[in-house]
Amino acid sequence: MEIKQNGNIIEITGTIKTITDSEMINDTINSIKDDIIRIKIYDSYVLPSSIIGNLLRAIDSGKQVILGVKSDLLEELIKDLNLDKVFNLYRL
Amino acid sequence: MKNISIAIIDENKFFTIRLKLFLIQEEFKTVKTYHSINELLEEKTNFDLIIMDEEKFKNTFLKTFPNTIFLLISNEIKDSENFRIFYIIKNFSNNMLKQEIEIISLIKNYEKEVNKKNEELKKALEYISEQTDIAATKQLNMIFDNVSFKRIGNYCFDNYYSPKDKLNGDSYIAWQTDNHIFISIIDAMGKGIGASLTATLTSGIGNYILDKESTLENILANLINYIKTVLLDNEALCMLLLKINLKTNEFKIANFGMPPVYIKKGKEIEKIRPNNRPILKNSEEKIIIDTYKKEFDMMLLMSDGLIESLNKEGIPYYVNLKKVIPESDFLREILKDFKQNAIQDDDTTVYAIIKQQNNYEKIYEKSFFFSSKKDLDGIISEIDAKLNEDENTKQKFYLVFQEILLNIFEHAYRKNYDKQEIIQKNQDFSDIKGEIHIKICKNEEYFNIIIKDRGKGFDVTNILKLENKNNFKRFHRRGLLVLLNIVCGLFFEDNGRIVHIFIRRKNGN
Repeated sequence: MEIKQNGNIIEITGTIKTITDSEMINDTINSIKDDIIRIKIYDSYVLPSSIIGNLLRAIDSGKQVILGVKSDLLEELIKDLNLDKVFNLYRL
Repeated sequence: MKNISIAIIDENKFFTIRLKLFLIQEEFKTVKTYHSINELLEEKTNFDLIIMDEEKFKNTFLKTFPNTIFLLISNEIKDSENFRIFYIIKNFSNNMLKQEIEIISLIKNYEKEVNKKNEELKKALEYISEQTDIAATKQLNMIFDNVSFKRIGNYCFDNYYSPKDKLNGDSYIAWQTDNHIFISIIDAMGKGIGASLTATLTSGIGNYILDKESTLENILANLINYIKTVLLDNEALCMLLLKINLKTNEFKIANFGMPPVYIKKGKEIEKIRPNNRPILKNSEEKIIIDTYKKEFDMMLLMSDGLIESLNKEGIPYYVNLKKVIPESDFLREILKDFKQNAIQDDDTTVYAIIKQQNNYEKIYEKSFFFSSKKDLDGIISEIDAKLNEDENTKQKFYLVFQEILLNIFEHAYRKNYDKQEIIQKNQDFSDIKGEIHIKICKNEEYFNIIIKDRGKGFDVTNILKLENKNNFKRFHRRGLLVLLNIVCGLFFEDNGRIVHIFIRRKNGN
C-alpha cells in the first residue's frame, strides 16, 4: 500500500492489508489541519472499521470528508453502511 | 388598531408625512418614514409593508427583506407577477391606497397565521420524532437475544431484524436454555405505534413466559392468552414459534399465519406452511404444534417483509427467493441478493439456523503469541503467503484478520479496558501479551476461518439486535457491521473467545 498526501488530499493505492497500513492512513488523516479532507482510494475493495471510525470522528469535530473510490464493491460497502452522504462519496 | 407595520420611503418629506398621517388616521399602529432605502437598511428594522417609488425599487430588495411586501408607486397601472410586489398608480387617491393596504394586510395576517401554524407543526413533528426514537430504543431493549451470531452445537444462528421505519411492527425472540433453542418471529398487523406496541409486548411477555415455562404447549397457551387481552377487535397478530432440541435435532413448530418455514437440504427446498390461523382477540381455536425430525442445511424463518417486498420488475421478492435459497448456504448471501434486487417496503425479520457442514478440509492451523501490533501484521502476512486466491477473496481475508486480531489485541487480554481513555490519553497497548490460534478450512465453495483467543471473552447476548444502517454512525460495534457486509457468516462460541467466519471462495458473495 502507498499513501500520497498533497495538502488536504490523500491518495491510497494498493490494498489495505495490515493493521499498520490502517494506522498509517489514520495518522495521515489526523495530520490534516484543513477543514476538508479529500481521500481517494484506488485499489482497495474494503475499508477497515478503524478508518471509518476515525473519519466519523473527524466529521464530528467539524471537518468535511470527501471520499472518492474506484471499486464498485467499496462503493457498495459504503452505501450499505449508509455512509455515502456522510462521506460525500463519489466514484473515481 | 391594524397590526401590520409600514415603512414609507420617499425623498419628498411632504409626501411621506401626508401619507403617514393618513395611515395613522386609518389606525395602522406602526408607520415610519424614510428618505432612502439605505436609511432603512441602517436601522435594520423589518416591516410587513414598504411603500416606495417603483423607479427606486430593485429586485434584490426581495432578498434583503424576505418577509416584506412592496407597494410600488408606478407611472402606469400594472398587474404584478410576484405575490410580494403590488403596484399603485402615482396619483392614487386615499381610497385606492386604503383598498390596496387592506388586501396586503389580509395577506400578511394570513401569512403570519400560516407561519405560526408551521412553527407549531414543526415543534409537534420534532416531539413525535424524539418520542419515536425513545420508543424504538425501548422496543429494542425489550428484545432479549442470547442466540444470534452464535454457534451452538452444530448450529449457527444468524438474524436480520430491520424495520421499514424507526418503529417496528415486527419483533422476535431468540432464547437458549440448556438443550433447547426457542426462536419466535412476531408480526403485528398494521403499522406505527399500535403495531409496534403489540409486537414488542408479545416478545417481552414471551421472554418472561419462556423463563417460567419449558413446554411449547404451556408457553403458547400463556402467551396467546396474554396477546388476546392486548389485541383490539379489528387487530390480528401473526406469530411463528420454533423450538429445537439440540441433542435430538427434533424441532416443533407453531405458525400462526406467518410465511412458511423454509427447510433447505442440498439444493432442495421444503416449505412448512402455517398450521394455525393468525391470532384474533376472540379466537378460540385449538393450538396446533407439529413435530419434525428432519436433516437440514439451513432453516429460514421470516416475516412477510422479505417475501412481499417488490423486486426491480415489480414482482414480490418471493419469486427471487425460490431461486436464491438453493444457491445460498448462509443468510448473508440471501440478504445480499435481497438488498441488490428488492426494495424493502415493510418491516423485515429473517432468522436462519445453519447446520455446520462437515465437508471442510483443514488447510492451515497455527498458534501465535503476540505482544505488539507488528506481531499481528506478521500473522496477516504469513496467512497471506499461504493463500492462493483472487484479489477479492484476499482483501476479505485482510479485513477479517485486521478486524478480529485488532479486537483481540485491544479487548481480550486487557483487564480494565477503556478504549476512549486510551485514545484520548494517546496511550499504547504495550502491556498486552496474548495468544491466538488460527485454523483455516475450506470446501468447494467456502472458507471457514476459526480464530480463538485465551482472553476474558465477552457477552455475545444482544450483540446486534438491530441491523438498521441508520444507526451505523453511532454504532459502537462498527467492525462487526463492516464484517457482516462482506462475509457470509460470523458466529461466536465460548463467550466470544472463538469466532467462526465464512467467506465464499469464488465469484464474491
